Amino acid sequence: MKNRIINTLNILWLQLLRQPLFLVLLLGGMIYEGLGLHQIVNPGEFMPRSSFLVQGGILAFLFIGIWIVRIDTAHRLDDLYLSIHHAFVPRLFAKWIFGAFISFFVGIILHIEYAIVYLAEGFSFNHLFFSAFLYVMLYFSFTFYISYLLGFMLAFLTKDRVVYLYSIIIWGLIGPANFIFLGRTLQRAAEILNLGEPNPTIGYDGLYGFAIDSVYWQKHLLWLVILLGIFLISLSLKYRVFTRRKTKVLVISLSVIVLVLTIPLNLDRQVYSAGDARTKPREMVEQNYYSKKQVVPKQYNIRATSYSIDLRVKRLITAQVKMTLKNQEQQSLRHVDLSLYHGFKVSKARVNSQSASFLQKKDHLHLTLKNKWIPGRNLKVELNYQGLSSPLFYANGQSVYLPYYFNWLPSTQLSPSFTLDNGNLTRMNHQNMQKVSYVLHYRGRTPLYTNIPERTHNLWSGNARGLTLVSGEVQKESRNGESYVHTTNLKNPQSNDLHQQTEKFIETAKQDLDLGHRAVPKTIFRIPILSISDLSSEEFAWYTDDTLIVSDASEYLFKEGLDSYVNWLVPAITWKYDGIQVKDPDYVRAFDMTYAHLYNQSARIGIGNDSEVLDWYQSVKSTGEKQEVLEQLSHWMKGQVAKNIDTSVAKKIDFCRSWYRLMKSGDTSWDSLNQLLKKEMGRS
Amino acid sequence: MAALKIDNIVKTFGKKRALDHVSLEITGTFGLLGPNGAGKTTLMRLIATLDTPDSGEIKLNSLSWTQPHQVRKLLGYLPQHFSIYKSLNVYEVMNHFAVLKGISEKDERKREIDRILEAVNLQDQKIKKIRALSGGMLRRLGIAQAILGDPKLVIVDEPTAGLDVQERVRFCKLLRRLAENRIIIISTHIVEDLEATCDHIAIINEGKVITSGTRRELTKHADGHIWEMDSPMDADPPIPEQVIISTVQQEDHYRIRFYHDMELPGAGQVEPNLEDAYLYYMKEADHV
Repeated sequence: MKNRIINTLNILWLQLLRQPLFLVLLLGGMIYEGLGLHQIVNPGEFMPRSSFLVQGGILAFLFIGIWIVRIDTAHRLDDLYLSIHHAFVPRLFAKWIFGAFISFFVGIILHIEYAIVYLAEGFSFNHLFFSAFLYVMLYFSFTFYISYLLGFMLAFLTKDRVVYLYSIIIWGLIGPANFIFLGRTLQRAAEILNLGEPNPTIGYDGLYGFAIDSVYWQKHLLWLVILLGIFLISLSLKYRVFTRRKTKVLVISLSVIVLVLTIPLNLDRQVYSAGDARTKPREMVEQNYYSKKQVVPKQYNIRATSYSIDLRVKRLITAQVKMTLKNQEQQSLRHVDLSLYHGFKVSKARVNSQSASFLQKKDHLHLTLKNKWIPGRNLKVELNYQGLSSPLFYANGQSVYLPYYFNWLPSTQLSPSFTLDNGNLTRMNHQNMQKVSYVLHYRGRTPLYTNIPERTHNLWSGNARGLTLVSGEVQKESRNGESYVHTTNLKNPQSNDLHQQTEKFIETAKQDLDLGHRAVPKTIFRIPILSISDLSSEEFAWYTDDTLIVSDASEYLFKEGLDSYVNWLVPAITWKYDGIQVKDPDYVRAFDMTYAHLYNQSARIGIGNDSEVLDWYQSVKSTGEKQEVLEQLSHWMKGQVAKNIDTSVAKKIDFCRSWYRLMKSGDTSWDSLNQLLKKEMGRS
Repeated sequence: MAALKIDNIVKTFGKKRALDHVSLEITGTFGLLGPNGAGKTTLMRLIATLDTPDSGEIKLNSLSWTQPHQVRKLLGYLPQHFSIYKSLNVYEVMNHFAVLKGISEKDERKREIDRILEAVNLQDQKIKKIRALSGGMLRRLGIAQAILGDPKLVIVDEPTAGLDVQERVRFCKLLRRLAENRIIIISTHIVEDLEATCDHIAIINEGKVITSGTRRELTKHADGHIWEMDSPMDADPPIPEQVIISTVQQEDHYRIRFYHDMELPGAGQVEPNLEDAYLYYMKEADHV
């Protein structure tokens, strides 16, 4: 059997190599890939954008699958092989193996080309190339193999030339561009049938990495098993190579396998889902959910002092959280209100070691206490929950992004996870205002990067104002006691630039705005943290004493885009850090714009690029005091004011300092700001 | 030598009965003769285990055709339209069949291939691509693959179809040579092929065996019924068209060979050959 299969493989290989068309196709694919590699400067971006190569490959392999059957049927050799003892079936199996072999071979060739080009361009060899290999195996080799088998089965079942028509139809259905052929109404079907990149219209997510989740492998495997089942059954019916009993056993076994493989595909899970080709792109899910009215209970003055977390992140997030809360109210409480992202369903709640009744509604968790919670006393709350994280905060076997500001842990900050500001999704800040003790026991994708130290294997503990967990297609660079975690697809991680520019800004802003203690944190994450629907600059950076999270939006951020970086940092180190709440987001945005513009002016950053900033004041919809403030600010920033008014940058920075003091005092009304502005401008 | 026994085989496709209670005993080189659609290929496919009969039995000694896997160990088969991968060479093809037939040892395989290629006179074409072979060479390659592994039963379906006269004669001689110690069944509608190769012949028509026997036994049946007469070229033949076997032009007249139950004026009786006998049997079958 083994000899027969090996020799058949050899014979098929010789024939394929002597087919000029195969070599032309292979060379064409390599040239096409080479052009793509030349144009796409990032090794991460290349793969999701290679869908046309996959789409072309699918057609080629459909035809190769047909050809591999036709080389025998064209010569009417089936009968001859059937008449030879143990020749027919081994030859057919050899053809199945051959398909796997050439699919793998083509995948390897394309991956070698990919690796050579990017390594030659100066990218360092890291985990990304291994992930890219898996990607190539899944979406090139495995998909090509399934295409080959589909072609094989078509030709095996139909001797007619109509197989070519069928194969073209199949090509339109199973490729990553199938949503173009199937249209909006059949988008769900397109999603199910697609054997290529699941997000072909969207860029690479440097944190999540490639869409090589286990579910996609299972999906491919299911196709393979179904095709194998059809093949074996038709082999049995057509050529009677198995006895009836064997056929029955075969049908039952394959049905069981198909069932077993189908079950996990239908389970809830989080996958990276973005762009036009998806029925539920991640940027729309939260937008729709938070456009509906949210529960916002009364905020009591309670605070968390410790968390002990047992966390398992796989298909779902499973958590057991023991937290200590302190009642800082002047009165006893009969209930505890916490916020927790609605995807995490609480199954059990205990208060002071006794089970407690609870009500979970949207992002709000209400616990009823059996006894009064006396002021100043601690309360031990234990919660078990499980579920899916927000599509904008990853938590699965592929990637983890659970930052301190997201209420993946039950939070005493009762705001929902997101809110909509003029239709734009905004993340609500759930950081603690004081340091909290954290103990984390974690099982999930590794390595895990956090802002607290690892004590033993899988156990972290430390004090922080919030706990951030990051894992995925990232790597860590350590220098001078700082951990710099960045995505693996950067040619130049620019950690020096990031450090220098951040330090320079923080030192200046600290003095300009009288901020108190601020310093470059020990842990810096430079990772993609947004979906494409996020536009507000305050979403791009988050800062605590020990963590700075910066979006990796641009490779040239610390050179050409430095003015943008300053725009991100202003909110991060000021009102977001200090937990200042405002009713009108334009208020803090006006502050961000004003101070960032002044800093950039004094540091001579982005000169000439500031027209957008200066026009912003007048582009905001406003009336009354707000309108007056924005107009005055606009004129003052542009220097379009009376000659006796001081328009120096120093004067304006003085005003910003006073403005920030006003905000910190809790007064964020336009009226007070107007008075302050008049006072400051009049003083000159 | 063992005999292949075909006992009362019936095979039906839809409403058409392709084989109707066929019984034969086959030894040596055996020819199956009959017109197109007579059921020869169906019978060959049954013997080659490519199909199963509706009823009846095929046996070689104690080995029954209900165990096709065992039967295939003894089989060599050359299908009617033999062609093979054009981009491979003769040796690669032979090597592939040798491996498929279970000759796993490399040296043994090489020896066996060389021996057979020598026998079929293809040794010089060993590294020639299939696409470069003539029709006759391809048929010889077909028979070469069929006899690889020394099968005891070789089935050859329409072996000379498409060959020119020279190649046909050469191929028939080859079959004759290979017949030692094995049963070779040759199916054909070309009578001369069997004349040169077969010891025993069965005539089959409309799914039934009309007769079977040695060449002599078959021709004997037509004894006294085959005649020849001369006919002028400018006149209509003096005998009905449907009994004419052949018409040969000779100088200023035609020599007409025909079968007839009674003597006709001007006709001389001749000794029947296999073709005469075959046509005579077919005429009889038509009358029935």
